[in-house]
Amino acid sequence: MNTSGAEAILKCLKREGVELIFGYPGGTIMPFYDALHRDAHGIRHVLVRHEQGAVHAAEGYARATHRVGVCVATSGPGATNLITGITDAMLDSVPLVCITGQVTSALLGTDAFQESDIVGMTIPVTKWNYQITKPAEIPEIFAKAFHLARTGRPGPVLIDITKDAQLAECEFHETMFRMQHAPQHEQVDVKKIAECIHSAKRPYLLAGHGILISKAEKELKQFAEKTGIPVACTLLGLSAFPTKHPLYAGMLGMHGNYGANVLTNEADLLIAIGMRFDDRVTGNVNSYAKQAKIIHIDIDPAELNKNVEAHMGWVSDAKEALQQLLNEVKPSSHEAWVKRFRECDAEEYEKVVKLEMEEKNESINMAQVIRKLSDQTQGNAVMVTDVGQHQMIAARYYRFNQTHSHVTSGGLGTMGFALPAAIGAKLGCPDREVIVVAGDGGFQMNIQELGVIAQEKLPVKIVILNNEYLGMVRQWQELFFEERYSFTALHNPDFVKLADSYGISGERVASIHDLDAAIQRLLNSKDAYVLEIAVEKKSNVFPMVPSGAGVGEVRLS
Amino acid sequence: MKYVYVISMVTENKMRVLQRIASVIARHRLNVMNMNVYEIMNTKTSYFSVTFQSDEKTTRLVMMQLKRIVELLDIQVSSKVPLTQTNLLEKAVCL
Repeated sequence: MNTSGAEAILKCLKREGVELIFGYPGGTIMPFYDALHRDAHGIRHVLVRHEQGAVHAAEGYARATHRVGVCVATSGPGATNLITGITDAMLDSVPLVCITGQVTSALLGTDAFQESDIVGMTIPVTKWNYQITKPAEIPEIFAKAFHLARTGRPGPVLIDITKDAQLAECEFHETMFRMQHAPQHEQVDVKKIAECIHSAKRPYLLAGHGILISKAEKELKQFAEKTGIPVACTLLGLSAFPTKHPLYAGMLGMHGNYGANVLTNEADLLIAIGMRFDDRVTGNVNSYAKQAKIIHIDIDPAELNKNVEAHMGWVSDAKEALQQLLNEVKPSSHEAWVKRFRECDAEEYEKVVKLEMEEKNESINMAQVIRKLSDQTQGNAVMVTDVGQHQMIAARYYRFNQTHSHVTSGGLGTMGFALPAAIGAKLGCPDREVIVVAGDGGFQMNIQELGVIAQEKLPVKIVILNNEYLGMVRQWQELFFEERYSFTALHNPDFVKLADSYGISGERVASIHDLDAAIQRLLNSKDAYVLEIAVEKKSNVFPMVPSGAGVGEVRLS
Repeated sequence: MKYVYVISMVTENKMRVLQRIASVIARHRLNVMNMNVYEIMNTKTSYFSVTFQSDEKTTRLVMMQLKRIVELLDIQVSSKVPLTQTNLLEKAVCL
């Protein structure tokens, strides 16, 4: 049966189980949008206000549901506006299929109106990309794109389609794509790895995003409980392990927990699963865990021995590796070693947490807000955070009670991520409370997406922690640039009035005494709600491993 | 220590593969000294030979990242010559 290229794209999306796409129409993608319009009972399309919003919304959907997120844009500026989000997805291993329109094939390479070489531009930031110029290619290329996006280490794939390929007719064939050259993983000696774990006196497990991607949370908990090994999570690994568990060691990283960082240099064995020893985790790599043996398990062979030399590397899916290890390891416990983490927790509590939780006059600090949000939601919300001080505070103080509950931009650190990502997360998880936590800087980077929340009537709860600064940069200026606050102060709009102009209710709170009731109103609202909270202007986030320092040099003040 | 490496690759004969390979190499600030590309096996596959100077750690990472290219079928280090003598360098470039 003959169909147009545009109709073939829709058939491919349906074949892959796509129910929701985010996009913005324009000249070269109009045939696709016309097919979408005629297909009245098909795929739901959410009209964003900027293409960056579309790709972050697709990311939020993918991160919260672990399904492939799909976004659509036109050629030229529409396509280039996707690049930040595509890069974000690449660094955080988020499965996306991004569809861009392209000028008609006869005009390729002529600097035609709204022509950009988006395939060339996105080669370094996609898992794979392809330009379709003939409609007959569509079934196979889409099957390949979805297969690549969701298998192995997930990532973004971009398909660029010329306008004539969307308009021309083709015979549609069902295609199931299979990789012809599937990667072969080396066999490892699991018994040898288990022996290494048995002989360790101070073993330490570092859990990353790979645990969540492979849905290995249950196996991780079983493994930790069987071996008695303390577990720390990376920023993207948060919610993979229950924060109230007695073996939970905290968060790794520049602003992670004190014990989680400093005890890395006391462990005699690190078992790193589904994480990549990012520089924010290792600090100065030359002084990172030099005393420890390292077992590194990751699905991407390029990550092994990249930043940290592993004594044993294992290319594997996290779930499969943990299942095999669970069969080999013997029950054990390391009470004295776990006690070291509790001692560090006590020190961090005295020097950081207690001070942040103390009520000082009327003022509010970020930690108080996050802890109250955590308590009032019983740790069950999906927390979608932007980038900066509030992101680190949310990661530190929200007590995640459910898996897949933390959506944030980790590797790229993209300000402006949270608001559109929350749109995708809410559409993907309509029965869960989705809370945006953003700073006043990042919130304004994609503030236009309030229009989507209003138009789609999405009950997304938005908390703006307003310190009238680009807080994290200001903190660095204070600590490392002799308090020269170069262009970090912000003159902000009235966020509540702005939300009101979109038809979204909201309020502003400036006193700690009003905070509990305001959070209650935010959570009780059946509709979207903006809660702007005036927080202390010059608070700093501690603990902190200063840039270039080792994890043993973590500062508590 | 630096070496002159010659990396050989067999790939699917598709557009943009050259650009994908160049992107990985350039990201590590490696300057290509010599490159040969030609079709093999009834034009279904391509053969690439790329020469550059680098250390062992960087080259290992480049090789691993090149393996991420979907169209890549095989990759080998064809030659690794210590960068100590000019004549060896010239010899390596000629390989």
